[in-house]
Amino acid sequence: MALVAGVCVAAIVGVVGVGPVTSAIGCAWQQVTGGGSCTTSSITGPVGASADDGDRRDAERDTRGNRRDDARGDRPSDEDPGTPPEGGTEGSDAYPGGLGPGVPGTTVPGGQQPPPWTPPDQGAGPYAGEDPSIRDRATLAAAEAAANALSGTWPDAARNLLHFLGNSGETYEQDVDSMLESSSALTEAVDAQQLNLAALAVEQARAAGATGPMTFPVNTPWNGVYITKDDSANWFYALGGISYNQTGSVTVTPPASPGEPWTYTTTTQVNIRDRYNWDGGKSTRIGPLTITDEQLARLHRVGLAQEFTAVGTSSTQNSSGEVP
Amino acid sequence: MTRLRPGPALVVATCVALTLATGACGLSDDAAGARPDAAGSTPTSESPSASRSSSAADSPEAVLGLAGLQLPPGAGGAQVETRTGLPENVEEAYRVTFVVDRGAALGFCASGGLGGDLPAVALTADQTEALGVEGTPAQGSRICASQWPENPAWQRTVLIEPDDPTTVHVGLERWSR
Repeated sequence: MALVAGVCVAAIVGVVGVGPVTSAIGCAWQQVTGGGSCTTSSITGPVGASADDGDRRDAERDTRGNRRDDARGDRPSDEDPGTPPEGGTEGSDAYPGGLGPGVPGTTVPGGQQPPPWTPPDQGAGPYAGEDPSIRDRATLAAAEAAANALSGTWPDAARNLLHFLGNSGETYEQDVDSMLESSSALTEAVDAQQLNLAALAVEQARAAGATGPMTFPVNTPWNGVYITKDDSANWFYALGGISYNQTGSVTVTPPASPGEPWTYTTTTQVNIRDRYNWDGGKSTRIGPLTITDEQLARLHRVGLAQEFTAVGTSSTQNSSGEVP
Repeated sequence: MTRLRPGPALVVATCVALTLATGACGLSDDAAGARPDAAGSTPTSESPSASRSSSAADSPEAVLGLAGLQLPPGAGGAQVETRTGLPENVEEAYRVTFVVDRGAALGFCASGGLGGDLPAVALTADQTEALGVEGTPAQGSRICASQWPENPAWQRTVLIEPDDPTTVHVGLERWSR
């Protein structure tokens, strides 16, 4: 039993970084350390051997199937003179207070792009600047297997890890609707921002002497929200902290009778950005062993995996209410 | 809210896959040779970290400068609080308060990429924690908030009270990710 446990620990420890930038395999490790269920397993070779082949194919499919952001222009290009910093995305400046100039009526031209975005850090270091070792290749294989094994439990965490391991470095689309459904932190932030935007719209419509509906375009600055493990384990391990903004419009309507409240309707999309990398600098000691984010960060530096920018846009979110 | 947990079978499958992929114990030496940690004091995702800031004695100007902001001209009574017992994702955090005339306070919200002010009708739990305030903002309060465009690791939240001159609360957090 101890040997089996040791094998599991060694295998996971070899590839896992535990910390804010923790992967699906990190989750597995925490489950193992927390519940000890790994020690009761019987390891049988043939199952894993066949699964490994399939998992690699899964990873390849995953990588090939996600090139849409290049076509959308989010991926930085060295040839473009207006290129944002590496891993950054282009965009349009946010409006003051998040609200653009209002117009009478219930519509404004759409198509607002979120503001330019810059990654918060430089990541693990230069890509493919070092030569990979046999150990690095073993780390890659183990990480792929673990990510595939956990894809049913934390699909987005596994998906992002596989994209990292897929080594394309391409911008990768995220399911923001799923994020909104799963994360109360993100939902609360979006809802609060919508209320404040509606209040600002009413303020400006009043100042403009509006006697009918008035609509304002919305493009807010990037703000941060951190999705904790308790909030959504899937998105915690997939991204953790993200930048979000809202684009769209808010329509405000004066009351029919004096003294009644104004009403508002917001029609927005939630956009997110994050840089997927392994530079957390965290480590965890398990018995005599120490595991670090460094082991996965190294895969980027030796060219076996590649950091990428995570982007996403939700479906249209509608909300309405009264502004006192 | 969807919250997924792995069952024992999943963990077993992971162990199997990992073990086979790595050749059983083939990686244990790697792990043993990995970067040494900080003698067991390294924070993990499970344990909130204490503030590791060395800026506790810094001036309000210096702390604001960390996050791309400047104390408005004419501001008085500026104070800095260095937060401790931080959430796992926050590397360092400060609360700065100062008093300034309302126009300068609103100008502060338009500076440093903060994005401009809007009515503070609603605050999130994270914002109230960052600011160190309680309850619903008083009517007439203004808010602005954004990541520092030049370094999004810094999240800045500003609450302006209704008065004139007014008290300005600034919450600054540097996130690990």
